[in-house]
Amino acid sequence: MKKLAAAIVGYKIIPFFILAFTAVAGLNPYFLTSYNVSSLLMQMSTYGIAALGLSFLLIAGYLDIAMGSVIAFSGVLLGILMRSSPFLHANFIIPSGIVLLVCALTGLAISFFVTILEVDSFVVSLCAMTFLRGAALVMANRKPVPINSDAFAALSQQLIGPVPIIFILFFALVLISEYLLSWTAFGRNLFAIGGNREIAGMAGINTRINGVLAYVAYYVLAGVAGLVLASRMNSGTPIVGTDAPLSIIPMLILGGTALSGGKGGAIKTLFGCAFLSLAFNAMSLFGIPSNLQDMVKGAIILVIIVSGKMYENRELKV
Amino acid sequence: MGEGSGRARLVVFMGRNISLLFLLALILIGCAGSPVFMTAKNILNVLRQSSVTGILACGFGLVFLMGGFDLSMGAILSLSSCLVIGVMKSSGFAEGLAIALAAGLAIGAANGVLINITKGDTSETFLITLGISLVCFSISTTYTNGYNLYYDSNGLETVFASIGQSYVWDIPVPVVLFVALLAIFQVVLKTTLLGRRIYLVGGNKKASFLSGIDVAGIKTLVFSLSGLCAGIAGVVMASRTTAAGPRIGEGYEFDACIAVIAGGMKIGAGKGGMVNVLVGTAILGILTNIMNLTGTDSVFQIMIKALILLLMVSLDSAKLAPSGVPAEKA
Repeated sequence: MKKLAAAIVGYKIIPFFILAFTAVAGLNPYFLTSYNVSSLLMQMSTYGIAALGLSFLLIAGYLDIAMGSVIAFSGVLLGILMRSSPFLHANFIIPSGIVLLVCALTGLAISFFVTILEVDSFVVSLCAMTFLRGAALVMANRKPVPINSDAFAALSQQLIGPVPIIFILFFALVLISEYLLSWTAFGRNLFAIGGNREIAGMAGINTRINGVLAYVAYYVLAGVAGLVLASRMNSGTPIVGTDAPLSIIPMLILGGTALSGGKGGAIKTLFGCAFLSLAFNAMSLFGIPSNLQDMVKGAIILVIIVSGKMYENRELKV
Repeated sequence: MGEGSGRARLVVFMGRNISLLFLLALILIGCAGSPVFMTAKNILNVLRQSSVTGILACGFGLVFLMGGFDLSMGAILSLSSCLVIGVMKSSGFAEGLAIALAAGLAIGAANGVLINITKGDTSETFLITLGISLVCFSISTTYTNGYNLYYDSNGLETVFASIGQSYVWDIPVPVVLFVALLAIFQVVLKTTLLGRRIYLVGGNKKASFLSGIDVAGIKTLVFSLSGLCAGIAGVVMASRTTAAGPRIGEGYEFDACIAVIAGGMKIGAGKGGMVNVLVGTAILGILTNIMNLTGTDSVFQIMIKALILLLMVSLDSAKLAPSGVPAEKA
């Protein structure tokens, strides 16, 4: 019984999501058309995959805002690799693998500063964000790199019923992440580190290696998100993803991941992501002009961040 | 630290003054690399170019001392530049100036109030100011319809043009403004009760609260001042370039952040002051100048700045490690 109560409190996003879903579906007849559903699923998958990666980091108590630049960087890198030789162009799996490897190595390099030198993770991510964005712009010569591969673009166009393949990929990644976080020693260690790093260290958990792994997972997943976006646009664009940090972090907070670390989960992130995407989709459906949408988005994001933290800190005096 | 061999003391001295050494090295590189570097014209140029960043860094420095980041400064700068030109065109200079500065102050105060509601630490200041910058950006886009605003400087408002373009005894007015802000903030920090409290809140929020300091009030005040600085910087920028736009200030908060960290400030350490802001702004200004003189591409410049910021923060945390004090996470 206690376990059930804890589960309800932990997953309170799900009833909210169902409520919002029924409300929007009831109010707008266009919402449940298969076109809108598949475009909504498609839209949430890109940032959703990156959000999934960020869950690992936030659970371990680190904060990072470089995902938007990683998304742009991986897309541009893929475009350049595909352009470089006809063989790579024909077999997009190989350049995609190389891109993810580069992302993993970048994550490894970044994690050195955070876990070994113990620099504040946010400041490091600020540097990484700026540097990778610059790298993407320089590599792409400041304009989109065309990919022009029908096979690669088809990945993001194929549907099974109304469900895009990309969403199935996203869902599979959610399940894998949930397994890693909830059922393995790695996941348990991350929760312990995020809860209290010093005590986790004293209890014999190698905080550095687990931190490094979390960083690698985050950078690889952000790279996957970049590949998905590149497939959707059929080009590697250096300026995509500038709004990523402020779209993705609220998804996590909505899902119930605490900024202070030690709380969260992949399925929670999935629902947080679905809820926020639903809200933004509804704004477009109800015809709110785009300038105003930005303002409403900003306001929603602030409300989410502020209220999430307010609830978390409700017992503190200052 | 008084005891110990001369070499150990030298290491300690270098560790403490790494920013000054870095500044010195940059000046030497500049002198050696380019014959124009040490000319009066170039020095004035560096001063004028770094004054906007410097004014931002003054506000950023205050927030940083108190244990926070203000990432909304670039967006506030854009908004205030749009407001000063837009309102001036329709009503007049005084109204434009007043509204631009008031907007900066109000948005800064909003930052402070929201952060107080969350009772948050450093990571909340990141996210909330980032969120506010999104709101700010959409306000300025709505106000200008997404276009840039231009102002004909040959027109009526000579006072407005003089803010960014004229000189006081051969010194550009933006530089005078920057130095004046530095001096005022330094005096407030070092000699007044308010200044002492800002240091205390940065050093230990809980202890300051328990000893009766109005932590929330101080936070709101400091964020408002930082917003005001961004507002001033926006007016200066609009006057200097006679143009304004919703994206004009993009990336400036990053520059201010680099200046403050490069100047040797450390978050929540309760140490440092406007001298560090001055040193950091000089480092950034000279670095930019050297890169401009050597014709470095603007994107490369940003990448180099990011690497330098990373280097600086790494050195800073490595500096603490040998003394047995690990960089504690708040």
